[in-house]
Amino acid sequence: MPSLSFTAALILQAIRTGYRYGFDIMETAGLPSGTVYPALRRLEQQGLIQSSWEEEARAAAEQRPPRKYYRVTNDGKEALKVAGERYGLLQRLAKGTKLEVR
Amino acid sequence: MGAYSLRTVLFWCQQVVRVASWIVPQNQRGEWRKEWNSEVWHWIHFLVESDRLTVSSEMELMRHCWGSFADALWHRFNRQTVLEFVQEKPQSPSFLLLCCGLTLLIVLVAAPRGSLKSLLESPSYTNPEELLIVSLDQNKDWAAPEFLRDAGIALIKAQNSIAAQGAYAYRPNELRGPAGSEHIKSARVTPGLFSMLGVRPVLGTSFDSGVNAECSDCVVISDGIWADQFHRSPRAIGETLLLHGERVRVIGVMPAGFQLTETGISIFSVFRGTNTPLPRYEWGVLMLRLHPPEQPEKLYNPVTTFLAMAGGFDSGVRLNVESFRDRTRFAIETYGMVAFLALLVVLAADRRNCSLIFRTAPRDLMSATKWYGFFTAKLLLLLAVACMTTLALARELMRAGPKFTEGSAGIVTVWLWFVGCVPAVLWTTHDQLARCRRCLRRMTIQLDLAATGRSFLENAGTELVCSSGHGALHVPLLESGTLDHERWAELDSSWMAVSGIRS
Repeated sequence: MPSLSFTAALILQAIRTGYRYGFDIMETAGLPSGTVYPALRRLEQQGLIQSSWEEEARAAAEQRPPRKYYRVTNDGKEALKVAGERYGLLQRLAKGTKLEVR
Repeated sequence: MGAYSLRTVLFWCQQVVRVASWIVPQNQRGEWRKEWNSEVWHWIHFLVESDRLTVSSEMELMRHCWGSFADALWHRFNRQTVLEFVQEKPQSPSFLLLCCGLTLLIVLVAAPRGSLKSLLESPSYTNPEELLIVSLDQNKDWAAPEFLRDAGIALIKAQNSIAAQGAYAYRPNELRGPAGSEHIKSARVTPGLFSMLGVRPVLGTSFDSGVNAECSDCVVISDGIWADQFHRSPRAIGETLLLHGERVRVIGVMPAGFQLTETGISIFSVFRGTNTPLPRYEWGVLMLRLHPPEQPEKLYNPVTTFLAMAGGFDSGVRLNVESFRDRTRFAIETYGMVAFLALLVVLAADRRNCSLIFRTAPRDLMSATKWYGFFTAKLLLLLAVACMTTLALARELMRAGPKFTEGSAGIVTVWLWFVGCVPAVLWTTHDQLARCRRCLRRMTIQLDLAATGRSFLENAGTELVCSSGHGALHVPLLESGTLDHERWAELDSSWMAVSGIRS
């Protein structure tokens, strides 16, 4: 299992908590786009998250472009559990405590 | 916030994303752009709908859009690949050769104009192979320059094979001009010297015309002086300079790169008067142009004999009679000999390491060819760098002051070349020893085998292991002829797996 950096673990935790697309994750984690998006690619490459496009029809009905959503895989959950033991702040996020990263 | 602002922000954000998308590989570009455009669209609409689209949030949005470049770069250059490249590329033999090549290129570009030209090209004279040069050994002999000038006139009458002749006498001098004073080398030349060499001034005239041939205060300046004193202004013609305290007038400018056989002369006046020369202060050189089919080498003896019989110098004075071919050959021989000498010095001083190059070389033909080929290529490139640096330095030294005559500059150049060759050979040897005998990558894994308790087993020392698992070089702490010595050991394929399999 790959070891996670704090940033990667934070992003993973944000997705787990329910923030499922790039902008939402940035807002929650307080990280810049230049960090979040490459981290998402890396996590996806490592098999810790999976992405899927929203249904076109649904997006079209709401007159907006479709979104790409991310979800944590089982491996991601395992990695997050290990990372959670290492990074105390993640536990606070998991419990819904507001983060003050910036 | 109106629809105009919304459209404008969206437009600019999309343009930033569009530019960044050019970095993304083509097969991923479409989806990548779709995701970013969607993110930007939702982002802006969220800000508008929540009435948060202000100037500061616009700026923040733009800043986030710039983040698309980082994301795009990640797609193009995977972090893992980049890290591997940064860590491993410098160890590869091709990287080292590339660095050496680039260094050579930088030296070639940065070297003063003419350094390379002086090495690779003949002087800018017409048919230099037809020229014969008569000079004196500056360390031993001296003769009045007027003697060589007059002997040249007499020679052309005596020898049918000589088509034309010209002479010059050079000395250190002081020049004062609009840009200040400088120490230079000046020369008195016979009126027909430049036309005999086939060189014309780029500006003004020289001493060929009847009026100028007799002009006592006329001078022709080199391109360097033209640049230094007159910033290459065409108005330099007719301007006055002080040469050794005497007022002289500029009548012409010689082309860039032009030099006489004695290099570094930057101002030329006409050979005139019969001032009593100061011995060993002004040195004469005679140049003879032969009729085309004539070989310069055939005239060495007749010219030497004629000049000896002319009797203008003390007995025992030795004249150097040579052609340009001789000069080139002599320079190549000297440089080659010095490089060989440097190699011998290094072999003697560092014989342990030098012998290791051969003793630990791979045994099979393919690997051995690569091993020695790489060593030779690296050595030649570094020697070329040393050679070019030497030439550039020597040229700068000659320009720096009049104290360097051609003879002394030659000695300095050869010495600098020697000094440059030694580290080049030493470094090449040391670098070669630290490389894998199979893949030629530098061996970065170093194991210390110097456990005190084991030293009696005679295997204490250092082991350099190839990171690709090809082999290990054992370097003993104490070398004993019978018990332990440096050796290269090929590792089996199981080591490749340990080090991540890179063939």
